[in-house]
Amino acid sequence: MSLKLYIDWLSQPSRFVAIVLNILKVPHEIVEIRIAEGKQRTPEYAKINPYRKVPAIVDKDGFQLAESHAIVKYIIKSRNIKTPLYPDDPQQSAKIDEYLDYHHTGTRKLSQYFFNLMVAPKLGIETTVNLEQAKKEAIFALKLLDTKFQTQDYICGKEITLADLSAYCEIMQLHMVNWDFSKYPNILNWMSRVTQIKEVNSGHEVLLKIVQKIRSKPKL
Amino acid sequence: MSNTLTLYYNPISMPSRAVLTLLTLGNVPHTAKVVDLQKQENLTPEYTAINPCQGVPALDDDGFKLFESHAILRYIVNKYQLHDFYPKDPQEIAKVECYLDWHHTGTKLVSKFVFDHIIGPKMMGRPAPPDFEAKEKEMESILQFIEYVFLGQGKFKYVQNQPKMTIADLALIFEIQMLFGFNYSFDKFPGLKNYVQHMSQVPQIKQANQAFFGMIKNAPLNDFIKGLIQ
Repeated sequence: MSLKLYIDWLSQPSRFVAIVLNILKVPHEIVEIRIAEGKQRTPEYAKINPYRKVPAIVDKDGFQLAESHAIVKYIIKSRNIKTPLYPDDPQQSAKIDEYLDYHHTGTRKLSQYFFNLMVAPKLGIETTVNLEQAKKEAIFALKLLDTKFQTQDYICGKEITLADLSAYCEIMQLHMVNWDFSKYPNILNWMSRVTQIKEVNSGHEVLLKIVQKIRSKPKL
Repeated sequence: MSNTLTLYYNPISMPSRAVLTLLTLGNVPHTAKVVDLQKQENLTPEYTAINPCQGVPALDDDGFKLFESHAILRYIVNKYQLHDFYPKDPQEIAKVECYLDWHHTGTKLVSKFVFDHIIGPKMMGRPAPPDFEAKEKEMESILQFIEYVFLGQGKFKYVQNQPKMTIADLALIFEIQMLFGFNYSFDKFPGLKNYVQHMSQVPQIKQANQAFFGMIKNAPLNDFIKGLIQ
């Protein structure tokens, strides 16, 4: 039995895990769970992940785990992988943890905006989220990172870490709503640094095809 | 151990109480400095230099600054080797981390509900959002998930069936105790009720709750809650 990774390529944390596994060359099998088709709600999937979300893993010995940040840290620890993406040094790993924790209520606001603007109407889902408020929170999160990139190349300093990969998967999604990044030049520069990693690009192939279709429409 | 840690905290802030409790449980020498949120001390340039997100808690370890309570908890565990409060096995670590990640968009909705609909209107004169019933339902579905998944339908003594209390429990308990301010009846969730009972009686957790209990002691409270805040 191999390590199985349950993902939807349209899900940001799914792409994050897939990209990290590829960069670290951890052998795994991908099982697609398409959210748009409701596959996460099947009883079979609930047995794998009671949270009914993606991503999730089932390791070789049957160990099940959800939550993208917990998953990548588990892979690194259990395989004893030494990587600058998440160093052993307590202060360096604490700084990465600081970003990864903040991400859930910080950078993820970008998804909330994106989901409520683009996806919910298409799926016929009613939400009570105030779009103007969601956009404000998205802008706040972007400004925070844009300011950071004025003085350093990556979120935690000179080297790329798990923080950048998790953030990138969220932020690039704004291309789907034709977001005007010209106001955030430092983020654009950071994105071009991150996309020099080939696994980041291959992890976004499905999405990039959709972005190209959207690029022809007017900006927000 | 030398005293290099300064913890910036607020006695009502739930993540602050979690970190304070770990420091006490681990006998870690530290200096605790209160950040007065009502006076907006967290918005001052001095505090923003310590924590650019302007929240509490934040840590300064001899110049190394850190925010986000879970990152701080892990850093303290690592630095002082507090393995009583964090597993060593990678799979058990992963289970604790899974809870800590889920917490931000799961458990935090419980305390958000209490702040938005009870503490905000009753103690801070803020208008309550319009959707009380929908938010109460959402809050209860979170409690149900905690009971069913993280407490194993009430069979686990600690989150994720760990043999001893971990930082996941410290993160969870103070959030759930905010329901005391709502005079919540925990009877719907017997596993959670048991958990709240035994965790609330841990002396170091009681100690961290003094300011919060002082705040609610004169409100109408059911006997279960009254018994736990003595």
